[in-house]
Formats: sequence, structure tokens, C-alpha cells
Amino acid sequence: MLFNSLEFLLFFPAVCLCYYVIPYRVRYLFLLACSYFFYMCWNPQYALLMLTSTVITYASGLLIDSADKVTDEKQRIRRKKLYVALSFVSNLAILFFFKYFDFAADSVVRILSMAGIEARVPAFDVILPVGISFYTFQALSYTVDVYRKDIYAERNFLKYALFVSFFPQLVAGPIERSKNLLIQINEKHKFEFERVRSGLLLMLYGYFQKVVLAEYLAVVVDSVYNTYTERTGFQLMIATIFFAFQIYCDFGSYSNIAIGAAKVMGFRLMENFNTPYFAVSVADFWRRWHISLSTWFRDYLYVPLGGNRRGRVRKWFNLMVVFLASGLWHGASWHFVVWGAMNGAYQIVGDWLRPLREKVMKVLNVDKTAFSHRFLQMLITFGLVDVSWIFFRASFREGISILKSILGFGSIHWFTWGDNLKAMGLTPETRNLLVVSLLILLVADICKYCKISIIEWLCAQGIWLRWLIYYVAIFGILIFGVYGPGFDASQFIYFQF
Amino acid sequence: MKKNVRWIFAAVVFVVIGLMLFFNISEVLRRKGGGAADMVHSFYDTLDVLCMGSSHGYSAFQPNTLWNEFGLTSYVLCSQRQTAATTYYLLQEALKYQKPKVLFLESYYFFSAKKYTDEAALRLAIDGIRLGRVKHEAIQDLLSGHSKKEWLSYYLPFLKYHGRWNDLKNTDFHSDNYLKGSIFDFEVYPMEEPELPEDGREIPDVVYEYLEKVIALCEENEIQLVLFTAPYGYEDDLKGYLKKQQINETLESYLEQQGIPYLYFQKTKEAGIDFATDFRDYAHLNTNGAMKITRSLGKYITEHYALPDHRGDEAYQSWQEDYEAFQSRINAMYAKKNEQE
Repeated sequence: MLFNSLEFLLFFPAVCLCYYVIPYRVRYLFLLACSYFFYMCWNPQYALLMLTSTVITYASGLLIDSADKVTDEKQRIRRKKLYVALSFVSNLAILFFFKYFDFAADSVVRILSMAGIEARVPAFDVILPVGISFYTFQALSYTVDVYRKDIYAERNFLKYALFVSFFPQLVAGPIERSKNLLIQINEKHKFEFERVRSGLLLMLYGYFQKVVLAEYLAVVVDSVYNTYTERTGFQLMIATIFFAFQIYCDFGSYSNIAIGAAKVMGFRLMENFNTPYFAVSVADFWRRWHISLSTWFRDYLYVPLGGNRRGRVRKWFNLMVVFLASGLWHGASWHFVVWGAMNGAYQIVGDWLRPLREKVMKVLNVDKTAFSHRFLQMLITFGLVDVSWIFFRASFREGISILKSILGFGSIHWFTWGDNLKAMGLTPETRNLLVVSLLILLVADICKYCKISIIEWLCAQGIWLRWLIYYVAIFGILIFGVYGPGFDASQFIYFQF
Repeated sequence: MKKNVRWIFAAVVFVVIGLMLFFNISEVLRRKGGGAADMVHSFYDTLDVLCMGSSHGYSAFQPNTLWNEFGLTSYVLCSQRQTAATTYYLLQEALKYQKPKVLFLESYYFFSAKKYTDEAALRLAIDGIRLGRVKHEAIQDLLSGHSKKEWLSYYLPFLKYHGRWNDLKNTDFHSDNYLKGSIFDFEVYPMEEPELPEDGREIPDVVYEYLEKVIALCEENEIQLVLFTAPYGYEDDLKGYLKKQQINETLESYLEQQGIPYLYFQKTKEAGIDFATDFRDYAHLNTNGAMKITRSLGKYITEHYALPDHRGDEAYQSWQEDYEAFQSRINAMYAKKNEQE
């Protein structure tokens, strides 16, 4: 059940209605049932997988907790570490098998064949369980948090199971922490009109990002990228810029809908995207992009590796490990690894060149606080990030070819005068729609950057303006969104006898 | 508590306004077809005559002629490739808002053994039906073999047509009211009058099934049902043409048994249709031809049934105005033609 499906639009209000009607003490059971139903709409069998992860991490929490009572310090630490290791190994093994086995096998075969060895690996035709990367990471964070005593070990299995499977953020994040979400399951959430309304408005904005912006941007990106060899550098550049916004809107929309949906039910989920393209450096970008994942890697991989405490070279190494892992997390394919490596490399090179940059700026007498400087930083950061997005979207070989064309080394002209718009799959109407939608996105992000809450502003307005905006937003999405069976005028062309 | 009552009230009002907007916008976005069920809801209890059937029907019937010459009010509820089954449901919808005394049913599509011809034709016919019992039954029956997901966009045509926002035309906001579901087309496609077959041909069972339902519905609502077949020719498929005409032969004897009047114009030559001037293509009459057929139908009504003449009645002033609009369009057309010549 995707957020932008009719099923969800029926499911969610029904769940909310029941949620507020039933007594507090059974609410978590109800939400647990709803969450498993939500997940099983994709594939009922994979709920077992999620249950397995839940059982393992739940047990790890209890075992770590019991190990804490061991008086001998050495033994205590050894035991606790053992349980953490068991939890990680078993969970990552499941994740590896379902997400990476075919990729790894294929890679091994290819490497061996390069060395002249014919190898055969049985192919497992497994469908990637939806959201496995998300809930596995969420569940693993609990193991570590209990180990670090950041959270108590949850005794009530069903409450813990709800933490792992909570449907708003189950399949596409934000990847929650037990410190935040698990304790909220014990809270009593009253129906508060203002909160529910602001949750719904956030969901509405998420739907706008998804069904209008992301979908229309995808039209351009798909049409250009699918025929990249015949495209001018200019078209590829526009498509690549559009892809940056497409993936932002796509991913951001899921988070916004998730956060909004949780808010309607009284849960506070962490922010996942904070105006990422206003970042002034790649490191800053990663503090603003998919925050729940970046902080996960920071807390559970970068810091344990030593973070930046063990010298510069070690820090760079750690950074690289994190970003390679992040690349792999995004998908079982080498181009994601390349994408991750680029983002790691940007930061390492940036760090390495820092003294030089400082010197240059001193010589040129640059005011670092000036808007012009910050804007330039934003542009450069966007450019760097966007180049890496090429490899997120396309395979390595395609990506190189696309990058070459954009830089003007393509086999056809960089720019040809003509109907570029039409060639990229846009009509004047859809172009206008895209421009207006992107402006809305820009204004929304500027407001967020300036810490102005549009939702709060809106809710403070008089009823006529509030309702007018609600209706415009709802019907704007309904009319301009891309969904449903689709209207094809040619289907209706009957010889107009 | 008081606060809760307030927001529940506000939420209800919000949803009601939202639904009203939704259905109105849906109506604008809906793909309209020539002579479809676009406006059936816009008249209340004012119709004397309803005309139904396929494009052959809307090409052969001109409400303005019926008004001007007989003082009868009528509306064309035909749609492209309308089958007997779709007619049945469309008629049910019309009867929710209208009490016509005579129903003219054009029989051309009786050759089709399908409940509906194709998606586009079905949509043109039933998308205009308001959300309610009739629509529900039509979808359940006509689309019984399809998935629930497919049904959905028939219940809520918005899902299908919202992408038409960049394709809207003036007629999406206001249809040519004065035409009342008919068309205005004086194009001439001259041809020779084709022969008619001598023997009949089996009518598909599904047509009988729904024709009987239509007959029953008319009886129940005290509507005089009259079937007719508008003349048509063929382009190159003589065999197909003859097959279709054979259906009419069978229909004639069937209706005779049922005691239902049937006007087979091509056979009786009653309307005086001239194949050299009265067609806009090989299958469809132009407005000239439509006026002739309508004149014949009007004559038939006045001879057989006592329907009041509304001409001169204050309450029917708009019908006169619509006729004048229609007539002035014809005059303008001829004036332009003369100028060109």
C-alpha cells in the first residue's frame, strides 16, 4: 500500500478514526495490527522476515539488559558485545541475502571471469522485501541503544514490535530511534484538532511533492535519460538538475507524509529533510539530506570506527567507509557505490583543501558571511551533489557518458536551437505547471530555511483564506497530479462521423 | 466539548463544500462526446420526447425542428456506439429527472452482440450519470468481468479525466445548450441510394435482453416507445452493410409481435430522404436529413398520440429562444456560403 494509492487514502482515515475511539490501553495493539496489515498488503510472507528481525533485536535487548547484571566487568562487557554482534550479524545476514545476494554473486562471477575462471552461482530469484533496509536499521539501532544504555530494554514484545513496524515510517523512513519513538508508544495521545490539522497539512504538502512535482519532473528525466545517447549536453544538464529535484521531492514527500500521518495520531517523528539544496558544503548537505540515515551512520558506524578522533587520515578513511556503506544501502548495484564514493571523496578533498581555500579567501578578502559568498557555496555544493546524482540515476558507464556530454565532450552539439521543451517531453502547459510548482517548492524551502512555519502562518489566518488555500491545494493536487488510469485523448478519437 | 462540536461542524461543512467542488470540477474535466448524455440533468419535467441510440440517432434527430413545427420539447440522449444495454441504464438515469411521454429509440447498434462496444463509448455514455444507484448498477452489470480497481474510475470519472486540464475547451464549461444533445452539421456527402436486403438476420440475444428491459421500463413509466432506423449507406463494405440492414428486417417482425411501432425510414421512404443531399458521410445524416426525419417523427406523434403544443406558452419561452439561436446559425451559415459563391 503506497502512500499515493487509493487504498492508503481509505486505510489512513479509517485507522485514525478507530485509533481515537478505542481505549488508550489497546491502542498500541491496534496500531500493531494495522502496521502488519499495511506491510502485508505488499507481500504477506515478508511480514515473517520483519517479525524475525523484531524477535532477534527484542531478544538482544533483553539479553544485553540481563548481561548488565553480571558483576565481573570484563565478562559483562564481553557478553554485551557478543549479544550486539549476534544481533548485527543475524540481521545483516538477512538483509544481505534478500538485498545483496544476487548482486554479490554476480560481482564475484564477473571478477572471476576477468581472471579467466568460469564460475556458476545459483541465482535466487527473490523479490526485495519492501522497506527491509529501513526497518532493519531501525531495529539495529535499538540493540545499540540498549547496549549504550540510551534506552531501557522493552519488556512488552508487542510494543517493541510496533516500534519496528510503525506503518507511517515503515517502508521509506524516517528511520526512527528507539530513544524517540519507542517511548512515545506509552504516551496517551488525545485528539487535538490543531495538531491533527497541521499533520494533515504536512501530508498534503507531501502529496503535492510526490504526485505533482516528482511525477512531472520524472517525465523529463525519464525521457532524456532513457535516450541519453541522442541528447544534447544542454538537455542532459537540465534533466540532471531536474533529477536532483525529483529525488528530493520523491524522497522528501514520503518523509513528509510519514511525519504528517504520525502527527495526526500524536506521534512525533524526526525531521528527515531540512532544505538540503541550501547546504553550503557537501558535509552540510549530508546534515540536511535524509537526516535519519546520516545520523544513523554517524552514530552506529562512524563513531564506533573512531570518527574524527584518531587523526585526519583515519577520519577520511572512516568517512569513505560510511559513504560506501551508504551507497550500498541505497541499492544493490555498483553505481550506488560510485555515488557514495563520490560523496565521500568530495568531503575528503574538501577537508584536505581547507587550508588552501582559507588562504585564497584571505588573499581575496572574501567576506564569508556575505550572501554572495554563501550563495556561491550553495551553487557549488548543488553542482557537486548533482553530478553525483547522475550515478545514482544511471549505471556507471551511462553516467560517464552523460557527464561527458554535459561537460561538452559529447558526440553531438552541446546545444541546438529548437524545441528543446517538446523534445524533453514537456508541453507549454506542463512547463508552466512545473515552473509554478518549483516556485512553490522554492518558497516553502526558503521559509523553512528562515525558520518560518508556513503551516503555523496559515492556521493563524481567517477562515476564508485558510479554506481557500486548503481547497486550492487539494484540488490542485487532484487535478494536476499524476495518478489514476490516465487519460489518453487518442483513445477517444473515434472518427468524428 | 464545545470546541469539539465546533470543529466537527467545521469539518462536515468543509467536506460538503469539498464534495460539491469535486463533482462540479469532475463534470468540467469529463470528456464530452457529440450528442452524449451531457445535459440530461438540466431540464426538469419539461420533456415530451426523448431520443436515444447511437451516433445514427443524434445525427437523425433535431429537437429544434420538433419544437418549431410541433411545439414539442425533446432531448437527444444518444452517444457514440451506444448499445441496447447502455441505453437501458441511460434511460433509467433520465427517468430520475424527466417524465417523457414518447421515447424514440434508434436501432442501428442492435447488430452488436456486446453489452458495450468499447471503453471510450461506454465512458461517453455513462460517465455523465450521477453517482448513485443507476451508475452503480450499470457498472456492476456492464463491467462485471473487470477488476474493482477498474470500476473505480467509472464511479469517479475524476480519476480518469483529471489529466485533461491542459486539453479543456469552451464546450467543457458550457455545452451548446440550444442543440439539446443533437449536432449541427450541414456537410454533404452525396451517394446513391443503396438496396435493402430481403431476408432477415438473427438479432443477438443481449439486444433482446435489454430491449425487453427498455420496453418494460417504458411501460412502467407510461412512455410510448417508438423504434426507428435512420437511413444509411456504405462506403466499400456492402456485405457488412447488408448484414446490418438484415437486423432491421428481423426487428420489424419482432416489434410487430410486441405491438411496438417501428419506423423503418429507408424502407418506407416516408421522410423523403435524398441520398444525394441529406448525408454528411456514408453512415450519418446531416442536419438537413435530421430535420426531415424529425418532421416525420413529429407527424407520427401528432397523428397517434395527443401531446400538447407548447408554442406560445410563456413557460416555454426558452425553447423558442433556442430555436431562434439554431435558426440564426443556419441563416448565418447560408449567408456565408452565398458570400463565398
